[in-house]
Amino acid sequence: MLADLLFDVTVVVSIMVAIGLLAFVGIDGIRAFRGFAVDQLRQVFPYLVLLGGVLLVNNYVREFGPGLSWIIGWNITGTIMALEGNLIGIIQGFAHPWLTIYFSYVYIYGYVFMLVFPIVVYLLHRKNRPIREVALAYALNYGIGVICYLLFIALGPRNTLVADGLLYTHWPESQLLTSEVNANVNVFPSLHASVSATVAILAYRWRDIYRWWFPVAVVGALSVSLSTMYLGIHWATDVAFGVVLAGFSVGAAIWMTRPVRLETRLGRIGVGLRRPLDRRLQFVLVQVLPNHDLEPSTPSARNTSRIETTIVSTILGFWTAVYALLGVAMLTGSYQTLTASEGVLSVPLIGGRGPPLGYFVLAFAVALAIALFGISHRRDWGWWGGMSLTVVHMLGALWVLLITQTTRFAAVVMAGLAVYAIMALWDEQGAFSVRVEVPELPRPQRPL
Amino acid sequence: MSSESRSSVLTRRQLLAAGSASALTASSGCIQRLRSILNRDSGTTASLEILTVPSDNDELATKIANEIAENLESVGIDISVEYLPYVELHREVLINGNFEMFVGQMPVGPDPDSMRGLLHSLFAEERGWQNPYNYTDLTLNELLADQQRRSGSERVAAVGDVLDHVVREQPFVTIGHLQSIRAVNSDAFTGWDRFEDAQSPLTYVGLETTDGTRADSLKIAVTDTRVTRNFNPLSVEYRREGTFTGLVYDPLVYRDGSETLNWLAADVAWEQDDGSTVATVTLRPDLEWHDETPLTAEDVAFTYEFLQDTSLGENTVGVPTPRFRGRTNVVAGTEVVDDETVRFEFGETARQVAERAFTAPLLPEHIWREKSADVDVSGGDSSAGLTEALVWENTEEPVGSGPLRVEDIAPAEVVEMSRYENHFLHRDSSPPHQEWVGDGLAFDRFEIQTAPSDETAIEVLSGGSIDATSATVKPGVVPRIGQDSNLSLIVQGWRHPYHVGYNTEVYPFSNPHMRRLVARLVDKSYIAQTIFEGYGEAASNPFDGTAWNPDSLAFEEADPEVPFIGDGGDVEVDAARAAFRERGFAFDENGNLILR
Repeated sequence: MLADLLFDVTVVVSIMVAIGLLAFVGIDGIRAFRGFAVDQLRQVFPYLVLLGGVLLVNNYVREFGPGLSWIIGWNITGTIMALEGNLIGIIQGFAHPWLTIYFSYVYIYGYVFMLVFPIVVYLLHRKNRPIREVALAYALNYGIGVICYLLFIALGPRNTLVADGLLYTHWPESQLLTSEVNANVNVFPSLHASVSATVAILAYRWRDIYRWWFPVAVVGALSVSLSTMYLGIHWATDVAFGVVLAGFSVGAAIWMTRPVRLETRLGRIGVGLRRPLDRRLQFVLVQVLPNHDLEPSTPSARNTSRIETTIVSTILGFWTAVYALLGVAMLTGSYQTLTASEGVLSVPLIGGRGPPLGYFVLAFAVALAIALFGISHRRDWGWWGGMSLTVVHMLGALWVLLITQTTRFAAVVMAGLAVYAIMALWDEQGAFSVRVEVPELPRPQRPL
Repeated sequence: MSSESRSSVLTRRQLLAAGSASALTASSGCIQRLRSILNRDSGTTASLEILTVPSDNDELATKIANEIAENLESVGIDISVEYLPYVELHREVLINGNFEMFVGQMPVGPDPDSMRGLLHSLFAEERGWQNPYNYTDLTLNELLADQQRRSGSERVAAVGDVLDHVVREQPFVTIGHLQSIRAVNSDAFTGWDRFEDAQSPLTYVGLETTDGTRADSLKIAVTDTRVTRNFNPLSVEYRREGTFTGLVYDPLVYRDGSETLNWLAADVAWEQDDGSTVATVTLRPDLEWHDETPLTAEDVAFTYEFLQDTSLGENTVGVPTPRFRGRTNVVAGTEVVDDETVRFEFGETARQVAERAFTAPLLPEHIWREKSADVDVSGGDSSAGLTEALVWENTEEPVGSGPLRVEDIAPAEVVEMSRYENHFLHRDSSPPHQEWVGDGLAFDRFEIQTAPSDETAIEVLSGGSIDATSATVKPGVVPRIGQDSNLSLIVQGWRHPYHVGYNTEVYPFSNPHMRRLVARLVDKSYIAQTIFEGYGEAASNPFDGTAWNPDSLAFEEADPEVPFIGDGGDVEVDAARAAFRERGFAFDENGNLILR
């Protein structure tokens, strides 16, 4: 049931992201990304790694945090209640079934969309500062948020029955998801409020890039913040502090990404730290993929021999078959018998959660098939194959990461595969045999 | 909190005394006067705190505490509710004794002798469910000792005296009994209410499949995740009734209602020896622990010694177990006769009371002996007097002897158990107690899954991936159960009443008048109607509604001893204040209760 819900969330959010991309970036904008994707990813990669690291730590801490909190923490439930009295009860006085449905969806789907969309949408823009700011601001939000969760013990309004837990009475399954992600003593501050406010503030800052995203982000942020209170999950105090945290995080992210920073001592250290990593990666790529010049603009795969193509397509073909078979087996349920015996394959995740996972595995197979087709027939399909592999793997990793407790191993594998896929993209022309130079589409350049 | 308020009272008294004495000396008089005035002002209005669990743990307890706080506030008592999860609440109340009042369920057994464990002053210094109220009353001690040695109608009368006294003194306020409610998938298993005690481990042992064959698995959902974090039957913070640990740790006998089922004991022979009750217990043959070590009379004798003092004499004051204490301290001595026979001496104790001792879980000596070592842990308030046995999590392959053995425990997720084929129920072709438990377990695997709420548990049950919820779910989800025609509702009587426990050692609840006055601000019938939603009854004491209860103590319309001052949940403020004034309490000009 949790797996079904996670699957729903992944699908719904993916569709929302796709619609958002079409609306705010447009087909041309997405295609234009091909021209600078490698450069962009190389620039932004460390920031995304940092964000991923913070999220992983966050996950660990939320798990063992409550126990530690009771030893070192400060129980502020009473203080918050004394401070704001029955405010949440008053908000719930406006309750209406339609509002409850709206806010429930906003709390679950809307929040995940608000979280994921900026990463995608700013990644697709030629400027790399917005995406770096997003990654840093998120990392700060989650980093500071989790420290607060450790230091403060606070139960939400629904737990003291100052207000009803509308979300969980209206939509009980959703608690399967939220209780996996967070403990009930972690409500101060509201990360729902802080992350969505962060998104809105950054949307305002970069409104010249995506003009219509700004009003949508504001409505989204207000809805998410309001939903946490309306549903009895957070106190107004949590939301207020969340917004303050958002302001601080954005400010700090802007300060950290300003261009002159590279000239400062700290900036030079950062560049210095990065250089060996870049060099190693370059070295690895050269070893793994000969004939490849890492300068992305060079059409390097021109001399790819027929033999290499055969090897690559054989490997890809093998995995395509494996994924396709697994996917079909999971969907039809026969995977249960496959995993009945103890073994690496019987990751606890799979127990009873076969079918939704089956779709993912099939999606891997489809992505691989596209890449394969790109190699043997239509070369420019290779890029799309790589792109879909990356997306599917990242979604898979996100999906598995949410069910952390027993499946961390699988999450790490998935994340590793996503990284591999990104690297393959990086090396687009070699790995997926794209020989065609992508023409750069003219873009209106606005001064920022 | 308790020690603070006590010491501040002392200081204030000393200061007052010092103030009046030095008023004669002109030099310091002015300062002393100032100090005593300031001191007086700071401590005048009463400020109390109720501890309870958040609604995720027990929505009914949260609601009751909020309701009581509201009533107390309306009278002019400054009160706050502190919400602590089960483990923290139990640590504060049962281990640290750091509370003024708390709301929760009272683990009182079906035999009234369990009142002895809860209230005898002998246990006031101990930690755990033995006398958590720190109640000391010589009269009650005598009454409790009296019911302990009597039997038959004499015991009924003696128990009546105990209950009379408890109701009058109100060391706790009994609110009422909630019925046990459980939702089950109608197609899977039957026999859910075969046992009178809905919390008995035997409930699961006695289930039968609808088609009579052995099922692959029984899966249930619990909302209380403690069982996945700790599987130590002695851990008082993590146990409620110990239903699931009971499936793994077998007792010598089970009692259900008036029935006694010899369990690991094949036979119990009772005799009177020089005024002392003596029982000779013969174990069933060839018993084994889950790790294939033989279960012998030595283990039995060890268990009873260990429960008396988990340090096994190493600690000078002794470290008694925080659970099973009241029922096992009647054992005056054990003697191992041979591998399968143990002789128990009970002193001056009636057989009915003595038999309670046999319902405690047996522990394997080869595992638990080394748990008698002292620990140094910051969870308790001092490391001295805390043994490994009380803090051990025991989640790595717990070794018991029950019909189920633990396969795997994933914290906050699941406990997986499997049928123990070597159990006496499963070994013989015609096992004992067939009328109760058939041929033993009707399933091969048992899974306890966690669900974040009762609502979610019902959803999961409707989805078909589990067979039942645990007992009990809250009354509020009954309509949801009714919506799914595949689900059945199992409603049974339940013995564990909700109550308000006072710390009777500390002012103001050391004053019986204060206890009774607060009790009179609790509208039990209103709580039974609105919070229990009709699935429960108000009670004047834990044995209200049983044959032990004297007619004069029955809750009818109103409480016989501490009737609610008001109606329909609303306090009649003037009448309530008048009642407080009558008992010597006063209110300041803002209408706030003044306590010294």
